[in-house]
Amino acid sequence: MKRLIPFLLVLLGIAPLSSTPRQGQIKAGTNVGAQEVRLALPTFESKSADPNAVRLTALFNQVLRDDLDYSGNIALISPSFYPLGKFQVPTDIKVEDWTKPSVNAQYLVFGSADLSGGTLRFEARLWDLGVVENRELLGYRFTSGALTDDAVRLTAHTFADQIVDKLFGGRIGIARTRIAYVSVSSNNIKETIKEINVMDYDGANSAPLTTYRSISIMPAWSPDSDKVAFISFRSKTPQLEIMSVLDRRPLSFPSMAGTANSPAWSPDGSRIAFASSKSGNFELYASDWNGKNMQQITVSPKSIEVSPSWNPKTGQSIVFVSDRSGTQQLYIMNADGTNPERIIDEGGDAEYPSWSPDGQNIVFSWLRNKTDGHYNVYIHDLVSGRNTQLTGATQDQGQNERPSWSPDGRHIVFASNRTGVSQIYTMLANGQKVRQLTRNGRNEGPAWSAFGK
Amino acid sequence: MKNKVLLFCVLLLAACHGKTAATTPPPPPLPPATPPAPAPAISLRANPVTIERGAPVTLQWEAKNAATVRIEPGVGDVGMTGSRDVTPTSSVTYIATATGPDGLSATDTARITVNAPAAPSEQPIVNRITPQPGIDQLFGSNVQTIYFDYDRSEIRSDQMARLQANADWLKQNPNVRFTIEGHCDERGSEEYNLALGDRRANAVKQFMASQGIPETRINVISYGEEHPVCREETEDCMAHNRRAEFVLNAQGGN
Repeated sequence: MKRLIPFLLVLLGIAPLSSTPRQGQIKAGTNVGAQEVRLALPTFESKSADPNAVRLTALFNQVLRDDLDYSGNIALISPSFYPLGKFQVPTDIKVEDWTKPSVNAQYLVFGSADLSGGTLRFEARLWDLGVVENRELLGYRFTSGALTDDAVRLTAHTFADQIVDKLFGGRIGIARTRIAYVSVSSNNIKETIKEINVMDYDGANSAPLTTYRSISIMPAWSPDSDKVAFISFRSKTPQLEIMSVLDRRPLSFPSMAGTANSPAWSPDGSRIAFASSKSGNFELYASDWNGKNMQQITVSPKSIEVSPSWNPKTGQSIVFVSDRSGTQQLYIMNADGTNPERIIDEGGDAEYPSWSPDGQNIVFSWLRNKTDGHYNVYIHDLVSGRNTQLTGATQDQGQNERPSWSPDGRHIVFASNRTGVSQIYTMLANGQKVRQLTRNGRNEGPAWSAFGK
Repeated sequence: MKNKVLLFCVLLLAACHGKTAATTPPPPPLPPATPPAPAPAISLRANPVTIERGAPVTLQWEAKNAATVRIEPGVGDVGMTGSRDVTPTSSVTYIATATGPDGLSATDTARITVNAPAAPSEQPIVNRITPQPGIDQLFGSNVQTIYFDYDRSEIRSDQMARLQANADWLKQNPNVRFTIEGHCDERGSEEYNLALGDRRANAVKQFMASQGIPETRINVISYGEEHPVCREETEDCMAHNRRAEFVLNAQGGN
């Protein structure tokens, strides 16, 4: 895909400005938002007056600001508190203007952009204002691969991830992750078409993955982010299909009798769990991702079993939905199907479970109260057993469904029809900073990629 | 004939010649015999050979070695070659005769078929036969959609009569292969609904099988909540979406 080329060029175009980077001073706790660093981010100026350079530099500033703001542990100080002046090179910086109580910045990110040989070249630095010497934690010269929005966005995302890594002890940033989702188009009610698209984690650069003009739903990313498994009706009955993301090439998976449903990759990427009615009723199965070594892992002939999700930390257990009790509830079993146990004793209907990267929590969609009629996003803490409501707690926010975790375990993507039509949203895992990613048409069923590509 | 008699006499006299002295001069030689006249020939063509009554036909003939040519019926003596338009009122065979100078003759014929349109009073009685409805129309009017309660896949008691009628018709039409589609309203997860639709379709299939319809005639597919018939968030709309639909398969296929 087109994204890879500017990324490679950016990699080639990163040149450190200083040679003594220091270790980050802040370790992130497991509580999102508990430890915030105060960071000042004055605008990067464009040295060139070329209108395109000016516009793209403004885009860089906006994307970098949004990325840092969304990371969850960075409090961006409002520019209204900044000292006046230009802040492009180290000699522009008077530290006490930034550390004085009215600004109170712990970190400073600054730099400039210049047009150079058909690309935009950025000088960018991260300073630790709390030390007297060796303030520069990061100093880079980034060269955007092209004079395009895509390339400049990627440059900003790359720098943002570097900052998160540096500030939070090697934590991997999510600014270059992506979200797969279902885009719905229908000319009339008889011709609903659902395709799987992929967009940046902030909603930009949406592009189609499937173009079958059929119903393609339930995307699931492989752990290396190279492949997406999904369910497609293009062969008439719903079948499990796999597509490579980079070149949009279908990869082979055997067609099966009955209806295939809700695929989920094992954390090492070797296996896929899914639901199927091929034996007559819905059970869970797992196979190698090419379909070999297929095993039935649940045996519950009178009930429906769907929506598996593996424990990403251990790969040893699977959470899923079953109506064996009469209503839809969440169960956890060993990956071989033994010892299924219900995890929430309250009633209602629980759906779409997704296991957090650290193995500690399940995010899911819950119709907690049937008379209430609303599905909301909840987090179930596996250690304490507590359920925390993330949507619809203080106001009606419609139906909120198919939540899943970002690979850093600090964010959740989900679909909500709170504006009247289903759209894709992200938020922090504490429910804050809700961000709407799609605005046009009807969009649903999202899944967050892993790190990497 | 005269020539032969004459020849005979000459031969007799010649045979007697040696005995008598020349007393009478021989008669003058007979003129050489003329070859017989060539036989007459005639060809008769008609165009067209089939007409509606009242339309003209062109007869065309060509005769050789004939003294006279005559075409009957109704035409009479004609020249050696020629054409004549005729308008026979009923089917007829024309005969052309060419007669040579020594009385020999030749003939040729042409048959004309005359079709007479029926008089109005002779029109056949036309009774319109009602066209047979196609099997797809019959299927559509006899095999009806079955509806379900929220979150349930059991056959509702108020749907049983309709389901039974479906089964009865399908048994009476053993060549019909069909698909049962399971559908849901939009509430709940897409994933659970895909399974619930499957369950509904299979519940209907099981009933059909229990009525003696072979499972080889029945396909099942679930569309979950993907193919609603309406989108309003009303109870009425959602009730219409919770259904098992019957679809006729292409004949001869699966």
